[in-house]
Amino acid sequence: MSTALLSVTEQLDAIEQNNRILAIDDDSAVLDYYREIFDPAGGKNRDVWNALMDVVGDDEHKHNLEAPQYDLTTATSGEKAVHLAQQGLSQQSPYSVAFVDMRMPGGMDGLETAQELRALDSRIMLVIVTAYSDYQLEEIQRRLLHDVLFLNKPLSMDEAMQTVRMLNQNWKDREKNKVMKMQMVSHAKMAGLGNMAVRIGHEINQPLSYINGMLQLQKMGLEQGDELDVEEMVSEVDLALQQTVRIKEIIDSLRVFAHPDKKCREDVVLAQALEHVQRIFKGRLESQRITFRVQLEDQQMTVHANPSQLQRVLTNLISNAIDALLEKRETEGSGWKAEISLEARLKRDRHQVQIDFLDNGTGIPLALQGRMFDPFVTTKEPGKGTGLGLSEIHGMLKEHNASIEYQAVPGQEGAHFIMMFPSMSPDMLSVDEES
Amino acid sequence: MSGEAKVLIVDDEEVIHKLFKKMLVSESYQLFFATNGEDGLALFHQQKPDVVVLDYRMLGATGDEFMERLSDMELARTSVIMISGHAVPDIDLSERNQRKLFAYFEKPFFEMGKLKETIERAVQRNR
Repeated sequence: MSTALLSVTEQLDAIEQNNRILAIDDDSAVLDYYREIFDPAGGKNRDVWNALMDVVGDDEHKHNLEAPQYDLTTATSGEKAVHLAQQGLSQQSPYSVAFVDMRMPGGMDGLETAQELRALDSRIMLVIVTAYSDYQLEEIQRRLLHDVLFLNKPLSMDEAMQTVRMLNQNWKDREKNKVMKMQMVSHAKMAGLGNMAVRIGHEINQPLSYINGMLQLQKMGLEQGDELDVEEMVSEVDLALQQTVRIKEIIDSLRVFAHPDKKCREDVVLAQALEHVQRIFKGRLESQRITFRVQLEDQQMTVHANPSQLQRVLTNLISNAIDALLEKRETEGSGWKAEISLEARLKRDRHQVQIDFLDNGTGIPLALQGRMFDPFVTTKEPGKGTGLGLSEIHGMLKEHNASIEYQAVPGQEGAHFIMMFPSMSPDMLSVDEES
Repeated sequence: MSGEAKVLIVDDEEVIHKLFKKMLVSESYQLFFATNGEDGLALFHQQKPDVVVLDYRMLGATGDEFMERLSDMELARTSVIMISGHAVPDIDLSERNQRKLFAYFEKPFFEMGKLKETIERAVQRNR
């Protein structure tokens, strides 16, 4: 479904209004029965139905004969059902629930139909209706993956109605939830981007101030015919040149964010990656008086990773740590020493790098430790954190055949993460071993 | 007040110090420099400068916090010129501090002449 052009509200509305259900049975009498339950007005649209009820019905009557809530489509075969489902998807009005008769001699049987429907649309709620089945329950569940309900024939009206009410509502809730989560993710990304833009702007403005200001002063001096002090001027120009290098370095450190989705991995020199990250946080760490200690067993040690993702992992961890440290400082007072430390050592014949990341901040509450890597779990106040940082880290590391664990040491304060990375590309390792 | 005017520059960037030093070299001011809020405050109390050029974002404290630590009387004797690498909407000053502020300059200083002139005016105001 192409939802890109719809606003969030429009998407939510479309979900809320989706009452489409599909019933599949080779017996037309059964399909008539479904119509009687879900579409008693005989296909009349809701307005007509309401107008009719206004004329004939008292309130109680109206209540009993509620307007058709559900938009029912019927199909006499699995093939037709699949076609309808395809159509629905292409018209952006998917079915929320499908009743599938298990036994349909001739063409596709119920399980095959259900399987096709599931393959087309993983969100659809499937109800298998069966008097008896050629398949074991476990087999059916395994083949349809999820959201399968079994009802025995003959169906009672109440049973069918209540099933649809529940499943349709579940479908709506789940779809709305997805839209909201997407929305949060994109907000978080935008907020992150905004914060970074401000930080970077500030970092670049410093050297730029010197270069620009110094040039102006030198020009003024020249215009006023001040006596030229060559030695002084050379040192000023030297310093200005250094500032351009500084700007270049800031820009370089950003380049890694430019292609975050590229899968390319290389043997990244950890010391260099850390240098970039530290540059990004330099201002914040200093202004908040946070010590960042880095200890590498070997300055040349590498980790086999996508450089931009590695930086994201490190920036996420540091950013979390800073928040936890500032929170702790609020209770400990301004004299309290905030510290972040990163230690990396080679393991397993230098094939792996273990990175220990510690801070002495507020740590992670025991209750959250089990699900801290899940999305949207956060220790921060509402509005302060999205709870996406650690889940993002977890996902990225998994892609890298790397891992992250939280080490909870009772009585010890702060947070302690342990990450394991491959130290170099598998190719290099085999070369190493051969030689 | 007599003698040379005192100008205190508080900014965590040494290159910014150098810039001010060069800009004000022709004036007969006594210049003092600090790279963080704590040192800046200490120098402020020690030297009682006529003008403080204050970076909004510094080690330990923002320019706003720095000003909070100064009494109304101290702020009446001294003109504060705030400078910042942040765009104006990002700097967060209390109402009192906004009122007490003599001037605000965004980095980079595209008009050094105006900045210099503002410092001169600030010095005159307290003489």
